Amino acid sequence: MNIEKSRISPLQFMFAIMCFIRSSSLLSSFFTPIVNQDSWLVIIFGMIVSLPVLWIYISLSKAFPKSNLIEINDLVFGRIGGKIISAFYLWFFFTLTALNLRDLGIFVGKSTMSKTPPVLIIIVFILLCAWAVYYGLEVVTRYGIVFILISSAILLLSFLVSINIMHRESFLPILNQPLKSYIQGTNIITMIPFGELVVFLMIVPYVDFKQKKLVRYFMGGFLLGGLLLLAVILRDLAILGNTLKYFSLPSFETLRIIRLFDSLGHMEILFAILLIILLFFKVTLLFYISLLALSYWLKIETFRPFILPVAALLVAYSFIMFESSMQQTAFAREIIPFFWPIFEMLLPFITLIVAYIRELPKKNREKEKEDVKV
Amino acid sequence: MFKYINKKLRYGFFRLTEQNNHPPKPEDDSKKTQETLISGNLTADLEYIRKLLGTSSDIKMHEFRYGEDFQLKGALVFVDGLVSNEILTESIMKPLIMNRNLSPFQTSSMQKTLDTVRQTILCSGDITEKYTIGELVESCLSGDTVFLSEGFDKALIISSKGWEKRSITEPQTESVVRGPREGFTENFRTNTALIRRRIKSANLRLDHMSIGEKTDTNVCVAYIDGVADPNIVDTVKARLKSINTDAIMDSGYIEQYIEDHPFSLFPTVGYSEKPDVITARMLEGRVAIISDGSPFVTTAPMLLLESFQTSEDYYIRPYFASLLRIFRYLAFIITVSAPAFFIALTTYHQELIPTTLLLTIISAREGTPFPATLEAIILILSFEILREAGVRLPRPLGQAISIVGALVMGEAAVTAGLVGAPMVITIAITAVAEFAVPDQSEAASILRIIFLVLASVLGAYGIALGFLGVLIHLASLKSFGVPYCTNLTFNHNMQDSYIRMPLWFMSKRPKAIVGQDKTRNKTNTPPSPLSKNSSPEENP
Repeated sequence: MNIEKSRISPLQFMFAIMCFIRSSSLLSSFFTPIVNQDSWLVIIFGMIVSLPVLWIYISLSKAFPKSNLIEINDLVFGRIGGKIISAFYLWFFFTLTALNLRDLGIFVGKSTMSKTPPVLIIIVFILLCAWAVYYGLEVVTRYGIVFILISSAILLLSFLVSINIMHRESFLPILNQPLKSYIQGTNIITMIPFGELVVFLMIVPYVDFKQKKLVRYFMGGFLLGGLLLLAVILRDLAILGNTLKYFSLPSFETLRIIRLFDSLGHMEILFAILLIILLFFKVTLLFYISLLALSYWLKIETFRPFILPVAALLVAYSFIMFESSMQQTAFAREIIPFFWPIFEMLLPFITLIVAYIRELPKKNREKEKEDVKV
Repeated sequence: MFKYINKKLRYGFFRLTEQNNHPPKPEDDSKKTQETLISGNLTADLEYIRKLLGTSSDIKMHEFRYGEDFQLKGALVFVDGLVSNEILTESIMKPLIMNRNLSPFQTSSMQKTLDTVRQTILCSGDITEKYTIGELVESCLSGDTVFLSEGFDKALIISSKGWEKRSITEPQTESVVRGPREGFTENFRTNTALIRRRIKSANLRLDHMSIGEKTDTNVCVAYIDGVADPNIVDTVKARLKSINTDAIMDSGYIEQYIEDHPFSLFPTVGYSEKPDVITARMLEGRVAIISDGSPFVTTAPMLLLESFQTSEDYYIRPYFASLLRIFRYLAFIITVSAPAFFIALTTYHQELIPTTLLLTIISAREGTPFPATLEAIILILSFEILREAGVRLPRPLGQAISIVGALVMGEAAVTAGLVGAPMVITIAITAVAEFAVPDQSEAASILRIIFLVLASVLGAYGIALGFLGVLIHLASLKSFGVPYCTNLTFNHNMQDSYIRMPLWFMSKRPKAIVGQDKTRNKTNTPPSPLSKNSSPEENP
């Protein structure tokens, strides 16, 4: 079974990771009210805490270089056990896609199209994603680099034009909040953008790099993406200061405040378009990964007939998920930190341990697989 | 499922064409004619040829006597107008008739006599022997002279092509300020010569084939052996061979028959009218297809990048060339999306327009009766019509029409309050920007309307979706196995994509296209007076 035939370059993979993390900058309101002016510190903590998690992912994909997550589960837990574990992942991927889709719908509704029903926005969007997913991994990841460059250029531009309204005092006082809130913030930031990198275990086998370089590109993408996220939070914090915690879309507010000369203001349209592009990348990737996982789980030759049905399910799912965005924020703050670790840390870790105990991957089995592929 | 729709569409078309062809073509005896041998009986052969070619007035069959005491009977068959009279009289007729040494021959020594005629009498560098009437007629129709003689079961084909043709002139479409000004012509041989003259490498290959049942058009696949990827060359040849049509009128026909994505808005086969452009593309590993009767030479594979390159980019220094190239990208974005942005801003996101500008726009639009979208569509339509009329009309009249269109219609429409001035300005910018990227102007004209509709339905969100849709489509396109937007997505060869690096920096040919010979120049060093007499190792 070999659904994805095209191979992407390591650089594309790295930028896909960066783009994935960068597109989470929308979600900064999940943790900014908890730690206020120390939000940027929390990102650094989150990156440090994420390192061992990434180590799990990298070890897994190093141990099974030719298998994606679903195949690894089958190899490690056997046929039935693997199917059960994979079902959890499948639900997780599916939920992530729906969550991001919902974010997009709400964001576009709030920022630019306040009178349009979100369902229309989401349906149009998911159809576009379906089109990209139809062409496969190469098309899904191709523009990662371009999107990152555009977003970095806009970030740099916004830094340059907003230096005059940045305040150093916004960052003070440092580290004066209860330890509990730092732990909570770090937990959220680790789980939401960084831990979600577990989805990349599905596409690592389709990247043509030498094994030694896997670490370099995986970590490179993670670090650069993290730095971009940090830069966004620093900018927002420097400009908004203590009011940061009151906004559900801090970056949007920041760009609304920035004024270039007297007449040019309201750069938020740039941010809106940028965010639509970035979320498009993320949703398409997640959608693709869900479908890939589904087709490996069901052992079918192609996922193409499933694209539209799954898209329809995603639209429905993203609507029935929460009743309001308050509920969603509460979910992100209070439930995700305890729920996501199951998929992002616990299951991969168990997989790694079981593989270690069962002395997998067996050399001859891998060889067999290679022979079959040749 | 898209594939399914696509299949259904194609299948539908296929069935239609099948139905059209339902009565099977009457099997003519052309195959038989092809294989009929020359009999050796001059009168009979000429009669046969006359029967085949019919009563056309331009087909000349000149019977004459030659040799010792004019004992030999011969005939020349040619098409008047296709042959050069000078060659015909000076190199064929005169030597044949003046020669008095050729004695009559026996059947056994026929070949000897023929060789004598060929080697010592006829003054031509290109003489071939043919055996069948079919071949004979074919070469006669392509401008060669056929020499038949009583008792010979072979004919000599003497190359004597010399019809009236346009001389090499500066091309109308791709003018440059700096750079060569010669362009291809309609004449096949001139075009191959123009390429051969620029690439004096022994590896240049010009593989010939002919396409079209009726027109039998000469088509030549030109590439540089080693530089071009053999797979691409084979694909091009295979696709050319599979063209099943009766006529090729222009290289545009060939483009449409061999392109990868016939349903796409974007062209996946490139063309140019300038030999320097074509040779430069061949040196990057592309394959050129020259077809007789067309001054446009086709190249494949095509990358999106090619539309934004001009030959002049490489003839002027890199800074300005890069700037111009960035402007071209911007112009393409403007021509596709400027009306859409205008509509989105004025109808959905008024708060984003600076207040003073907003006031200007409002006062300009005050009293205009139509919604902005309709206004934009009317203006775009009238522009397209003006452009089409300007192209088709006789030149002096065309200018008059442009002036009437631009001044009278534009100015009057604004003063009469039918359309707002800001909208006229937007459409004007759009129209001008289109010509900065002529290769994509077809795609741009249609995309502009799609974007306009998206913007009027969904505002800025619609524009973002439109851009993403175009990007997805571009990423899915392939031209002869090469991804369409290879150089634009930071895969490789970024030294010649968004900007153009100095020439000495571009040491590698485009990785996605090229075959074996990957390097252009061995060293990446800038030219400097020091490195003149020393090797790069000594002078790092």
